[in-house]
Formats: sequence, structure tokens, C-alpha cells
Amino acid sequence: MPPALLTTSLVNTVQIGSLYALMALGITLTFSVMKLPNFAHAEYVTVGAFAALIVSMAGEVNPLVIMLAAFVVGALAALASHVAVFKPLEGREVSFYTLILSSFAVGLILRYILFMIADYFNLFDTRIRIPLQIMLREGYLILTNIFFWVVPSSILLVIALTLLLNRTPLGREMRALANNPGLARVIGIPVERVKNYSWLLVGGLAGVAGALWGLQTAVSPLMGWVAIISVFAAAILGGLSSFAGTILGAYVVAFSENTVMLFLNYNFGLDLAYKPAIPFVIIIAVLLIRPQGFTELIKRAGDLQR
Amino acid sequence: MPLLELSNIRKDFGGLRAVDDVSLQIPEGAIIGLIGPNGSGKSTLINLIAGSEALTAGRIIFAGDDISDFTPDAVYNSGIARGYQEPSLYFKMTVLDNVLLPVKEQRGEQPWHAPRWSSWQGEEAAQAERAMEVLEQVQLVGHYDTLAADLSGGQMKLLEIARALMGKPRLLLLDEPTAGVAPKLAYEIFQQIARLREDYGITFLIVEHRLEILFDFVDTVYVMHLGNLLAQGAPADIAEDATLREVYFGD
Repeated sequence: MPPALLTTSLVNTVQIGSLYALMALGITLTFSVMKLPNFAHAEYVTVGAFAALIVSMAGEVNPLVIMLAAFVVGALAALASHVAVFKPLEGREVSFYTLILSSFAVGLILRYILFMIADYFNLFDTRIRIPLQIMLREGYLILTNIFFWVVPSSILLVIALTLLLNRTPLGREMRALANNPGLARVIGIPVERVKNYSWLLVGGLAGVAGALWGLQTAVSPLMGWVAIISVFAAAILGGLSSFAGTILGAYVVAFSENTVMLFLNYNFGLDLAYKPAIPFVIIIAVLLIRPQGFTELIKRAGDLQR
Repeated sequence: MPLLELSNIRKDFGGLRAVDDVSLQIPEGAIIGLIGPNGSGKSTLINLIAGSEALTAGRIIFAGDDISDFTPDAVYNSGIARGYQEPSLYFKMTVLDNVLLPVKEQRGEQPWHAPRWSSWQGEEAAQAERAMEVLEQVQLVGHYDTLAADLSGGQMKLLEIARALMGKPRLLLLDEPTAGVAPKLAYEIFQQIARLREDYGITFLIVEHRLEILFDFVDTVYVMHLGNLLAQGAPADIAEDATLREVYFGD
């Protein structure tokens, strides 16, 4: 594999892995605190990307403003799906499978609403308007301003979320809900309020991930859906409970999809069209061999279920 | 006025009458023992008071308020905390986290305060200090950073009591606080209970099978059998009671 190709693929691994981490942490958090494997998470990402796109069309907009808009809209989409669908269903004590299917349905509804909006305003395959600049050129290594937006933003948000969970009273209540929801009610933890805040956080982070995703590729109503299997693979690698495991999982998935894929393509002629199969292979392998993912390997560092 | 008053409470599970027309009054500051053979309805009675089970009939008055229809969290907020037969803790969280969780309406529970460290850190530090004092009282202070799952059975019971104390309860319901605990530590748990009554005037209603320890610490003993209150009295009298010996010990 030529060094130029290797370098580019590693840069992509870091960039895409950071975004996967941001999205997968939301999946892990929803699964732990709300006990829901939420497939509509993909659409909070897309909703955030469209919010970012629309704001960016206003002219010269600071990327921070774009991200803030994506956070707010993503957060509201997540809270709305909780209030309108998941909460009433939980009240009826439906089965786990009903909840999973309903999350697919919520995702579908949001996705096709976005198709309608994109169609009406003619927004298909548009990129968020931030001029591409080369910030660093060192041999084969080329880093753009997009890289310097995506990677530090993702890492800072992941750190902020970790601090919130481990150092604040709200985070303590979220961990309590993840750990023993029945007891949380009995000792008077405001369960509904904590859940609402968790939804806002999860949706907001997904929205920001969407905005950052839209910086590097075109925004489309399918973008979140295309990424969701990779994101779930990352969360499953984290055992759906460990933060550190989920982050590691995100980079492992991104590395497999970029560097490993290119390596297989270059050396063994494997067609690049097989790329979408990689997360499925990872999910099946983890479930067969190590259902707990990385959780046992990094015990103390996992945050929700340590 | 009694702190807790049960009037003719009844609980049916399908055709089974688990608690049958029980009335009793508990004065503030008392330590009350509740004994009886397995299946006599003791734990159900605790669940009814704590709101975990709904009454079939009857009324529960606590500190002058009718709490008959309260949900568990409303009962907790009105000043009744409870411990469980099987320790019910956040096992994957630290001892200190477990004790801090019942603290409510902190500013740090609102996400918009969270990034502004200084706005809630003082409050949190004060609560943590109080939590450490509470842990000191039950002699768990050295374990504040241990995961609850790594404590011994007796320490888990003490942690449940510490968590209950954090909510400043007036009445503490304990279901077999010494179940699965070594005899020496079991005695210590009751010494802690007696001290908490002395220091804070907390009232206790305790279900317990270890009568030899229980009788050393309680003011009044109630005996349940097949859902009914069979007898009540001072521990010395109850220990001598002939009918009681018959149902309870089968001799």
C-alpha cells in the first residue's frame, strides 16, 4: 500500500472515528439510561445536518453558530420523539421489541419528512458552506480546516459529556437510572426530568455530529441512516455500557472501514463496494465471540456500568 | 398524636389475604419490632406503608397526613425511608454516590448550570461533607470510594441506612436489617439504630428474625401471624407469652 494512500486513510480514520464516537456515545447513553436501542438516533444526526445546512446558507456564518443550531434542533427532535412516542409506549409497558420497532418507525418518519423538506427547498446533495482550506501539508499528510473543526469539536464534546456524567449531580442521577431504575423512583430521583435532559443531550450531540458530518460530505436525508450501522457496531464494541469502550469501538470501526478496507482493496483486490459490509462483520463477530465488547478489558474506565 | 397510624389496613393478593385488618399506632421516637413466622405478612405490611403495594382497604396516617394512596416516591418525600431485605443499592456506583443520590433540588441537576462549575460546586461540596458525616455515623467513611457491589453484606445494610438518613426521614422502615450479616456486625447494626434514635429522634419499625438481638433494643414488639396482629407488648412480656411461643416456635 503506497504511503500516500495509507496516510490519507489514517487521517480519515481519525476524522470519521471521532464522529462515530460522538454518535455512538448517544446510542450507549440512550441504551443505558432509557433502556432503548434507538435506531431513530440516525435521524437526529440528519436533522442536525439539515439545521446546520440551512443556517449556513444565511451567508458567512461562524461554524460555532452552525453547530449550536444543529445541537438545538437535534435535541428538540430527540425530545419530541420521546414525548410523542417512547414515553407513551413505556407507560403501556410494551415489550423491548416493540420499542425497537417503534424507534425504526420514528426514524422513518423523520427521514421522509426531511426528504420532503429537501425536495421543497431543493437541498439535495448540498454541502455546508465552509470554504475548504489546507491547514497543514507535511509530506503525504494533508490536513484541512474541516479536520481541525471535526476532530477537536468531537473530542471536546466527548470530554464534556464524560465530565457531566461523572462529576455533576445530573450525571449522577443519569448513572443511577442506568444502574437501577426501580430504585431511582423509590428514593425520589426525578426520573422524568432526568430522562428529558438525557434525551436533549443525546439528540444535541447527534445534531452536532450531523453538522460536522455535513462539513466533510454532502448533506442528504439518508446520511444518518447510512452511518447508523457503523455507529451501532461501535456501541456494541463498547458493550452498550462503557464510554471508553464505545470511543475505542468508534475508532476501530472507522479504521476497519478506511485503512483495512483500502489495504484489502490494494493487496487482495477486494472491491470497495464491500465497505458497508464491514460494520456488519464486526457486529456479528462481537456478538458471537465477545458479547460484552471491550467492557471487561477497560473496567474502571467504563463510565455507566463500571 | 402518634407519628404513624394504621387503621384497619388490609391487603389481598387474589384470593390470599396477606394482611387482615391490622391497626396499630407508633409514637414518635420509638423503636418498634415486628415479628412473626415466614409468610405472616410482615414484609407486605412494610411494602404497604412504603407505598410499594396498594392497600385493599384501610387508611395510613403519617404525621397527620393521609398517605394511603401515595406512590413510593411521595411516601419517601413525606419522610418515610426504607431498607430492603435484599440490599437495594446502586451496586455499580461508589458508596459516596449512593449516599448523595437522594439529595434533591441541587442546582447541578440542571444542565445549564453544569458548565458553570462555580455555580453549583459549593452546594455539591456541602452535600458531600454531610454525606461523609452520615457515612461516619455508620462507620463506612473509609469506604466512600468503594463500589457498593464490593461491600460485605453487613456494610450494604449500613449503606442503605446511611442513604435513608441523607433524606432526613422521621420514620425508617427496615426489613430484616441483619439478614445475611455476621452475628457481631448484626449487634453493631442495632447499636447504630439505637444511636440514631438518640441523636436524631428517628422512629424505627423493624422486621427481624434474630429475636435475641431485637429484644435488646426495641420498646414494643408486634407479633403477626397469618396476616393478623396476634400480640403486642414489651419484649420481656412477648418473650414469655405462651400462645406466641406456640405459633412462632411451634412448641
